[in-house]
Amino acid sequence: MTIKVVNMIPQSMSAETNQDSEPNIAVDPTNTDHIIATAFTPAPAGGANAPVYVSTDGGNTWSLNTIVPGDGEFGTGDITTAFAGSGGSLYAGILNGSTGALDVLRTANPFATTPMTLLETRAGEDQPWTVATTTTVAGTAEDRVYVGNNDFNQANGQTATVDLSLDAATAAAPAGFAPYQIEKRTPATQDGPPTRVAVHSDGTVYAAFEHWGDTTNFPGFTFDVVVTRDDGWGSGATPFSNLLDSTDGNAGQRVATGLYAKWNDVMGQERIGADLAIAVDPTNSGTVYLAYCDRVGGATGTDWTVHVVMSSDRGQTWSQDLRTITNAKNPALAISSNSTVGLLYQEYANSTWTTVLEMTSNHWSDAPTAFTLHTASATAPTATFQPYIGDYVRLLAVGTNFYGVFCGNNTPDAANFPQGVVYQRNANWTTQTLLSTDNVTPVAISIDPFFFHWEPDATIKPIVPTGILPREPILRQPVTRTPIARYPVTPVVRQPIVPVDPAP
Amino acid sequence: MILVPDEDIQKLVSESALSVTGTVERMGTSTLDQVPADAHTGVILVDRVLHSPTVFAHLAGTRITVQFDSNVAPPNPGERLAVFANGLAYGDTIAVTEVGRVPISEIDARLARVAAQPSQAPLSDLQRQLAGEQFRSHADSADAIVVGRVSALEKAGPLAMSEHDPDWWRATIDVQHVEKGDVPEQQVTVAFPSSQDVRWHTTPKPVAGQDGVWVLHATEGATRDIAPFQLADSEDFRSLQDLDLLRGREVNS
Repeated sequence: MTIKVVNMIPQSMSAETNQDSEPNIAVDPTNTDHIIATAFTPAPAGGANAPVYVSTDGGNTWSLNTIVPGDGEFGTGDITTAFAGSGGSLYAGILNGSTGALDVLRTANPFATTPMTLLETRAGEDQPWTVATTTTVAGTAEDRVYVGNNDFNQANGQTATVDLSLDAATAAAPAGFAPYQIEKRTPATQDGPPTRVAVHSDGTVYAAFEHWGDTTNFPGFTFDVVVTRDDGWGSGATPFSNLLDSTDGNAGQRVATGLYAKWNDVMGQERIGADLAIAVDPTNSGTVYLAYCDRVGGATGTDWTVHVVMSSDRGQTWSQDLRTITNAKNPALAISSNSTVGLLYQEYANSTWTTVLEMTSNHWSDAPTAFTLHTASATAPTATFQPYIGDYVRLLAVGTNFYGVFCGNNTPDAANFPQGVVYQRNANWTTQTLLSTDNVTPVAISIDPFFFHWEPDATIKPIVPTGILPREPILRQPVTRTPIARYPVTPVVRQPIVPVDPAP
Repeated sequence: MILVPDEDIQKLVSESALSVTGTVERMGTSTLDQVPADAHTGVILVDRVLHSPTVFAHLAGTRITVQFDSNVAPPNPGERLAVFANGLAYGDTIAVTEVGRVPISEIDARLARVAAQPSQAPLSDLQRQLAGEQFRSHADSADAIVVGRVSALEKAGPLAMSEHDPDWWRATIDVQHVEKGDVPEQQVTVAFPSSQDVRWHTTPKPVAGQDGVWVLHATEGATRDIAPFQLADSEDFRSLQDLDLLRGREVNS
């Protein structure tokens, strides 16, 4: 088992002091050396496009490619990305840094410097969350892409929405993308910002969202966590209608009801109020895990609590809390090919943000395998905007491996990284000082994105089937051989063996 | 003697994020994997940064990849030049796309002129002029400009329910001087996004008693119900001394 943590800021940007918060990550499942990550990182030297972080060596080293249309003062707005299941195409859902509109983007090669192609754009949106896979239909690969979002254009405040395309790889814009409202009840004013999607290879697609209940005492409000499901990739006329609530019969099972939150409350300089994650077991589409946050203490409380629950009957019934973490946010879930459940979260205590990866194979019946990836002051640097560390992080499973990203204070202090860390940017670890590109001038601390990779056994890599590669016929030419020249062999002259007296 | 007129250099500065002087070490090669090399791709050893964002102020002594303009003959290895460029990719080194280039001999005089002030970037005077022009251009697009002091602040709408909602507030400014526009002489009310969200945090947030130059834009749609004007850009508030800059008189700094 190995775990590596890497600060993703490239060496050439050693002098940067941006608040590079709200990270996301995509790993190419057919080549896990190919990884894309994002954050609120502006283009370092101008231009029309915002950057993505790219790695072609499994996350050991990172650079920036400016390929995202819409570079604003802070780069792009919200951004999440996902690789297709095969073929290497990358999809992104963003809030354009210049216009604020939701843009859905595509590129066949995110490792080149060609800007991504715009497939769909729509104003009045929030938190695009991109998930993709590839399935084969009649021998043809089709990229199935889902972008959960909070669409304020929807009627009756039913804002929880999924834009989807069933074959997004090559078609011209909009490449099949269209929005589908997944909220079937009428919320108070709107649904919460996060709409999260989990896709299984058998065509089961789950989408979770937060249905806002009573907002009369806003910023205090109540909400329900709802899970919807589609059993055919979302291909019907009314996608995400297959899971009916066991009480009111509407599409969307209410997993937890009457929860309380205080909108834009602050914990450790970070705003809170909407955290949600969902993951489906790749070996069984009926097993699904959900994580969400609420204020257990209600209107008089001060907590922000992570809950993890599971369903083994395709989302109809749900467990009690399998895991509860008080004063934490940004839960992210992923399930590996051997059904190990990974949970990533950021916990706040004693003016410190601590980022933890937990893994369990028995629903937390026993203590999970847990790693503290990062722990550092939550009071420095001072926030320059919200979100301070991000409204979300992301955890992915590929085979039996877990990959993830988080953001935090970048002080080069070994004590902050219990699993170790690699910095690309210049730093003096003795004086705990960041250094500029000249390796001399001190640089102020800031918020940086960090990548991590957990591997169960460094010597065994999962074999990911990629199909049979097309090959050109092997052309054989006549072989002309010249005679093999042999030269006389010079006999070896050996001297007689002289016996030596054994040592006394 | 300066062979390249200042206005030509200024145009290059206005179109580029950074400029450096250096020596072309190799052509047809790249220091970054994601930037494939062709005949117009070269590696420069930087000896001086002429202008740049702060993050690249210490590039001297490093090698950068330049994608030279394919419509112009590429430079030769060993050639010294000044390159004006925008960013393309950033790894151990950076790769940039050429906006323009100048033979080093043609700006040596400029470099010599600022040599006595090593703490100053060689093109900082042009950058200041450019910033002034950009501010004046921004002011030209405004509907009103006033000098005044913030005398009242109030929330102007329901509490925002979206993370990226501007969360509008209204500021009352006691007007001391109207520089431009049809503005009441006593007071003017101005809508501004109070949100600290990533989308709005750079827009000025007036505070009680704040004095200065306010660059105002007419409100549209529902925002018109809040106030006739709004603050919409990080350049919409400047200190009083920038009034001279606005009027085209350079300010010594």
